[in-house]
This record gives sequence, structure tokens and C-alpha cells, in this order.
Amino acid sequence: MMARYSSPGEPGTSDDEVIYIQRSLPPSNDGFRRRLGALLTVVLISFCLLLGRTWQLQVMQGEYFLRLSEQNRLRSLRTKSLRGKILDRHGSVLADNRTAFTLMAIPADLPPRDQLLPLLRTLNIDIDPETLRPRQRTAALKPVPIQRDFPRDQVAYFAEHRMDFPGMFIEVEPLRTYPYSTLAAHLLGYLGEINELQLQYGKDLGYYLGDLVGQAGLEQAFEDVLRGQPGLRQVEVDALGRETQVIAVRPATPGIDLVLTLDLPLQQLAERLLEGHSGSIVALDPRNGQILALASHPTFDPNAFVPRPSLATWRALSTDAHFPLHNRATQGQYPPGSVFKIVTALAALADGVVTPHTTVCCAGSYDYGEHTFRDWKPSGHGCLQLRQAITQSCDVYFYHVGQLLGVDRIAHYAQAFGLGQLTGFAAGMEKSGLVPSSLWKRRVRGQPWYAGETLSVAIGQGYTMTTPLQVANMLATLANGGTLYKTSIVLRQEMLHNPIPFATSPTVLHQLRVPPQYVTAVQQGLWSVVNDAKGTGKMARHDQIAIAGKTGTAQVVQLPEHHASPHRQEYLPEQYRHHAWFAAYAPFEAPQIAVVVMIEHAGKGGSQFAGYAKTLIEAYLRQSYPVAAVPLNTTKLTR
Amino acid sequence: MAFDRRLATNFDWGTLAFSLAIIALSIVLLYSATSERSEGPSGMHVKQLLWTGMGLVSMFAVLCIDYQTLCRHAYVLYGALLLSLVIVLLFGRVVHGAQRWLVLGPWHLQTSELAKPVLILVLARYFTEHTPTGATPLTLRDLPLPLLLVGLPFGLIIKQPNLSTAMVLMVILCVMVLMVGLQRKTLLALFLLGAGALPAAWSLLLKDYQRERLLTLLNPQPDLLGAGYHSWQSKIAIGSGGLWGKGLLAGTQSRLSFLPERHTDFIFAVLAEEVGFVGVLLLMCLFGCLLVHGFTIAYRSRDRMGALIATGVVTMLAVQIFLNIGMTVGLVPIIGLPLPLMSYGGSSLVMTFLCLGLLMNVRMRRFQGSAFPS
Repeated sequence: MMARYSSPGEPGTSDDEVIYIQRSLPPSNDGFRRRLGALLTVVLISFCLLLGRTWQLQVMQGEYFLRLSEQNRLRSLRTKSLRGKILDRHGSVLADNRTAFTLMAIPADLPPRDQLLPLLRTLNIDIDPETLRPRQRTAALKPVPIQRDFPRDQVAYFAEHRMDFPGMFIEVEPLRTYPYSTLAAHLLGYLGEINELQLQYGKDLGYYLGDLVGQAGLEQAFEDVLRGQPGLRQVEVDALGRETQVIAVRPATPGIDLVLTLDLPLQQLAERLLEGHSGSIVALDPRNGQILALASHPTFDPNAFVPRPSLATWRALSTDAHFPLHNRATQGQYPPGSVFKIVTALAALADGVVTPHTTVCCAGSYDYGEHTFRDWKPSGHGCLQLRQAITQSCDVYFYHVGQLLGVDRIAHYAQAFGLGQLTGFAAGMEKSGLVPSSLWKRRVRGQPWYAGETLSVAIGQGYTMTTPLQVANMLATLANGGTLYKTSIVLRQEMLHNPIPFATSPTVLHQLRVPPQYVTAVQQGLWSVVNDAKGTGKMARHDQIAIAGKTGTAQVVQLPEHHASPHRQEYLPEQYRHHAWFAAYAPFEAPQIAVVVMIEHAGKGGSQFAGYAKTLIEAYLRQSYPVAAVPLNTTKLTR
Repeated sequence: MAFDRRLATNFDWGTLAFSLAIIALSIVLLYSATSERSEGPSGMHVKQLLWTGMGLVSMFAVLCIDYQTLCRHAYVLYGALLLSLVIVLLFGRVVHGAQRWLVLGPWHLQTSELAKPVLILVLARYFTEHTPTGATPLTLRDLPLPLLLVGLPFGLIIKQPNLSTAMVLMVILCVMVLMVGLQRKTLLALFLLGAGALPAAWSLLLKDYQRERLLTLLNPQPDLLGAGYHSWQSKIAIGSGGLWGKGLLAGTQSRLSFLPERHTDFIFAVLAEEVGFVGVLLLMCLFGCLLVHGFTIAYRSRDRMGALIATGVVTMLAVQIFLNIGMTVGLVPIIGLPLPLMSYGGSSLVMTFLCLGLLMNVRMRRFQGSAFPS
């Protein structure tokens, strides 16, 4: 090989001189230089391509990419506002905030699934990472909670090993606590994670995925007041989502405290009385429609919903045959039974169908057309006037006046007492009930009204449906002489203990235009129910306090439509017994409280529960309660 | 060995000046890209300076030996190259799933880098021997041997896997074959063969992640959080630089780690983000000057061997520049490939200087043979 390049043996050469014997030809002899030129052209063209592309990215689309790089760099993080407290009228805190830690994640910054799973496992978190994957690319930068109420020892561990958990951070997020556990649970409601629909409506209000919002009760109805305004922290982050510097801060505004009209000791007493029953108790102030107590039983502990109910809890609550989540006081709709005779009586007097002295004789039944309508007392009440008819709750008397009145005049007065409509204390928390009329029947059922049906309506059966709250408001209207107030639950709103302007004067929904002597006549009837020897509500009688009231029995299974649809019976297997009502107010001369006790499937009428109303009225008017309410001990969050 | 005085007078200042200018730009950018806001510079730029020193030393070492002599020993070098590649495959260190590194005490060598200069020498040697006059174009029969010469290291490097380096080797082979000259019908036949072999290469040669990268490039709506993340962040970095850039030490994409591999493969994006289109233009001009200078050397080379060596070096530089920048601007799929003289990394830098040494070698010896015209 060497020989091809040099020949060391040749004369004139030395070792340190290289001689090229046979060398390749210079490149000019072939097409090499031409091809070299072509190669140079290719290289220069590709350079132009690169420069052109860079020009396109930097100069033509520069602003677009600059915006994107800012989006990469800047994160707007919300600081949550402290939710407003809920207090009773004496200042006892019914719903409060406690310190809690939430493990958060920014989906875009999380490591891939195979790395994320062991990371989560070290924190004792067992969730599917898929649930953290954002649905849209734009959502990938918004933090979502991985686990709320993160245990303190785990928080400490996380804080020490923060760098091992890219895309995750700990947020101090106050969680709700209800110091009195089950007390007024239906009224207060609970929080839950925002759902898809709420998210759509709440987008403009700054709600994010994973936010806790009111899902029931006052928490839901007053969400906008309680929530406050979230703050904003604009920070610069690196590609791992770690903050490098804070750019701007706007502090959060705390939510507004709600001071309720609720009277805590009264509420607690009412709930104790309900123990062992399915039913509800409502107490109103007849002078202004303020709700003093609103109890429903069976009940639940809203603390079990913080931050979310366990599957077992939820299943137990939602499948319980007694529907503990159901707010019977405002959403339970029942026939009012004999309590409705108040309406019938006043309608009859006001429309001149009878006078207080008109006498009707009762033989235990009333024949109308082809039907015979029975009185609750088969032997009959004898001949009686309005006052005795109310006192003894004589059905035949009211069959008679009802038949004289007709359904539409009854309906008119029922509406004047607030039946068949919302009482209005909070949005979305109550049912409106039903006041039947001929018009209603034609519209909804497509049938004419049969005069016989009026008789059922006159004694509070038939199609009529009421909620305990409506009945309480009806009684309050009678007690105050005919003014129908809108019920209210919020006494005032406070921001850091300073009241904020809020319309607190009672709203009048309707004013009954009836000669006062007729109202007095009905009121006196109610007084006799409790205080007369033959009265059905004798158990409510009190030595010092003048109590007026009315018993009621709501028949469930003998309603015509229940006969008509057999599957309805299946749906209510054990519910063959009647509901019991007792509605009362006191003191008789200057009423301060109206109470309704409603017990489902009590079997007998409301007479046996009249004592409950007496207990409540006595305790409220004397402000002496058998037991004092004790809140649960929890770590409270102070501002 | 004698050192001709004419070598000093013909010293190739051009190559040295252009490459050092690029290095200077690179050091500034490395300083900027690897400085932490809280901790200050990382020291990588100092290390790169060290590598530059080593590169210059090896460049001068290569200069001292006539490229003819180097070619004479090309096959020995080739044997050594194969040996080192086998050793890497057997004992190499695995980084990011690829076995590329040979650990020798404090030194971590990427021996595949050596394949570039060695193969340039081997191919130059082979083609000067087999087509000494250049009068007859190559036919199909002349191709198997050079293909085998490149194929062996190519296979070993693919196995690591290091697709990008292997690809550069293949491009060097193709360009050198084309430069030597190829029969027209052979060219046509090869073209058809290549077109036919593409699908096979797709399914057999490529790994899943490589296929994904290629598909990402074709897909107009890539998964920006998954496979397309690097390409997208790189484009954001470049685009956000605008005409004048965000300023040194102020590139948010690179400094907040949105840009992957910012000091190595994506250094161009750092340049574009911090110094803007103006900086890009400067770098491209420097690269352009270096390449055009290299082309002149090939053009004016004393002999065919020198011309082939110079062409090989220029091709290697041009291919790497095009693929690297093309990848950062989103014209080419993401392949791990350093930008010559710019990216951080000792093996690549020293190898580049070695190749530049070859280029200068050819330039400086172009007058030596003039006393003995053939």
C-alpha cells in the first residue's frame, strides 16, 4: 500500500520528506466541481428555508407566541374566600369554618401515569389518575383538588418532600363544620363539589371545577351571600409548576354571615320532641312571619358531607325508607285534614253562608247525592253552632257549609291564607302544595268538578296538599287577624359583626278583608278546642297561658286517587295510618308564636300531640328550656 | 515528521475565526441558559470553554499530520472505531434508555461521535483508490463495499440506539457517493429501491417513540401535552423571541424549564428567544460563512482525496445544522442531535474540532503538491 504514495528507496529523497508519486487527480478534471456547486446550492437553499421559517415564527407570529409564552409562565391562582357563618338569632354559630388542608394538582404539570401512581400511593391516596386529566387543554392549568381534608401527618410529609411531587401543592382550604351536628340540618343544608350544570352557570362568577358550593338548604339558597369574593394571586411558575415569584395579589373578600331568625333552644326542643317519629315541627312569629323553629325528623349530620359523604353514608341516607334527607317541614306535602276547617269556617262567615249562630245538626253522617259522608264520630255531635263545630271538629257541619260555599270560594280563602303557594323564606327550599278549584281540575285533570268532591275539600281532604310551614303560616295569619306575611329566615346579614344593609321589615303578601268579628269567632273556636271540656286539643291546655289550636287528621289511604292506583300502595307499604296535625298559637290575646306539629302515620288524630305544642309554647314564652344546647368541639377558624 | 514552513504561512485562519466566533456565541448562551435566578451561573459555560480548549488541541494535533498519512491509516482508525462501538454496547452507560456513553474515569465519551471523522477518512480513502481518475462514474458494483464500511458502525450505533448520528453517517455516505459521481441509471435504480424500502424501514428500524415523533410532525393538531410537547415549547420559545429577543438571562421559556434540553439540543431556541431573529441571523451568517469557506477548500483542494474529505466535513456540519435547527423550528421531527459548536457537550465539540482540523488540514496543504504536478 505504501508504495502507491511514496517510494522511499528512490534517489533524492530523505526520510523526513514526503514525496507524492501517484496522487489522485485534482478535482477539476471531472464533474466534481460542478456537483460541489450543486451541493452548495442545496445547502444555501436549506439555510434560507430555516431562516424563512424562523422569520415566520418570530416576526410574523411573534406576538402570538409571546402570548403563549406568557401563558406558560404566568398562573393565576385563586385564594378562596372564607365562607360566611350561619348563626341563630341569639348569636350561636350553627355553621362555621375549620382549618383544613387540601392536596391540589395542576393537571398540566403532573407526571405521567406510571410515575404518578406510586407518588400518590406514598401519600396514601387511592384515586384513578384519569380523573385528574383535564377535559380541555385550557383547563389543564387550573388547579383541581386531589384530596380534601388531607391528614396533618401527610401534610407534614408532603411539605418535607415537596420537590418529589411535581404539579402538586397544599392549599389551606377552610372546610365547613356544623357545631350542633344534626341540629336544623335540613334547614342549613350542606356543601358539595360543584357539578357540571352549576359550573356552566357559575363560570362568569368565577367558579372552578372542584369548588365546594351549597348543594342543599340555606347553604344553597344563600350561596352568593355566604361565598364572598375569591382573591387572586398571579405567580410565575417553572415547567414543573413550582412558583418562582409572585407578580400580583388581590386579597379575597370573606363571605357574609347570616344571622337567622331561628331560635336555637326552641329548635333543639322541637327536635327532641320529634325523636322516635317521622314528622316535623314549625314555629313562626305571627307578628312578622319569622321562622323560629323548623325541625324535620328523621335527620342527618351535615358534617358527614364534609368534604364529601362516604359511599356508605350516602347509600345509607339515600336508601333509608324514612328519607332522612327529606325536609318534611317545607317539602313534605300532606292533606291538612281538619286544620283546614279554619279556612272553611272563615270563608263561610265572610261569604255569609252561615252566621256564628247558625245551627247544623249532626247525626254522624251526611247524605249528599248518592253518597253518604261519614263524620269521624259515628254517633254524631248533635246540633251545634260554628264555635262548637270547630271545638269538636264536627265533619257534618263543614260538609254542610262546604256544600253551600262551593269549591272555588273555599279555594279563594285558602289562597288568602297562603296555601297553594310558596311561603317565600328562601329560594328552592319548599314545595307549593295544592289548592284545588274547578278551574284547576279542568286544566290539569281535564274533568269537571263534582260537587261531592267539595265536601272532602271542606274538611281538608281530597286534592288539597299543604306543607307544615304553610299550615303554620296559615295559623299565624289567623292569629294576627288576617295578615299573611312572607315567611323569613334571615334576621340580618353581618360582615365581621357589623350589620350590613338588608331589608328586614316583614313583607305582607296578602291582607284578609273580612269583618273582624268573623275572625274573632274562628279564633274563639280555636281557643275552645284547647280549653273547652269537649275540645279535641285539650292536651294543649295550659294553666297560665291562653293557647288556641286545632287538631287535624289527614287520611292517606282513603283518598280517591289512592284507591285508583294500586301501585301507589306498594310504594307506601307501611303507610296505612293517618297523619296527625296539631296547630296552635299563643298567647291568645296577643299571639307571639304559632306552632305546627305534624307527625306522619301517627294513627290517631292530632289530639295526642297537642301536648308537644304546649311544651314548645311554654318554653318559648317563658324562655326556659329543659336542656341547654351544647355545640360540638371542633377546631374553629378565626378570621 | 517534518512541519513544512509553508503550513504556517497557509494557516487556515478563516475556519478558526468562524468557529471561534460561533463558540463565543455559544458560551454566552450557555451562561444565560443554565444560570438559575437564585443560584447564579451553573458553571457549564466554563466547562464548555474547557472542552473548547481540548478541541483546539486535538484540532492542531490533526493539523500536524498530513491528511494523506491519516488516510493511509484510515482502516486502522476504522478498526479502533468498531472496537470502541462494540465496547460501548457491552459496557456502556445507559442514559435516557440509550447506551451511548463510555465511562473512562472522569471522562464520559460518546464514541459514536468518532464515527463521523473516521468514516469521512475511510470513504475518502476508498473512493480515491477505486476511482482514482474520476473519469468513470460509479456503478452498482462499486457500492456494496462502501455501504458495508458505513453499515457496520451504522448498525452498531442504531443498536445503542442513536438514530440521529447513524442518519448523519448515511447522509455523509450518500453525499460522498453523489459527489464522486454515479451512473445515471444506477442513481435511478437506487432511488426506486429507496422508495420501496421506506415502509420496511418504518416498521423494522424505528422504535415506537421515533415513529411517534415523525407522526407528530405530520399531524397538524398534535397532543401538546404529550408527544408534541417538546416541539411546541420550542416553537413558543423561538416565536416569543420576536425580532430583538427578550434579552440575555430573560428568556422565560428556557429559564423556567419549559424548553427541554435547553443547553444541548435546543440551544438554538434559547438563542432565538433571548436574542431574537437578529441573533439567529448572526448565527446563520457565521454558519454560512464557515460552510462556504469549507466549500472553497473542497473546490480548491490539491487533490481528489482532500476534496472528498472537505466535502465530507462540510456535509456533516450542514446536515447537523439543518436537522438540529429544523427540529427546533418544527420543520423536522424531534431527533436528539447537537448543534455543532453551539450545543453543550464535550464529545460532540471535540469531534467537531477534529473534523474542522481535517478541513484546515486540506486547506493548508493545497500548495504542497504544486511542485510535483501529475
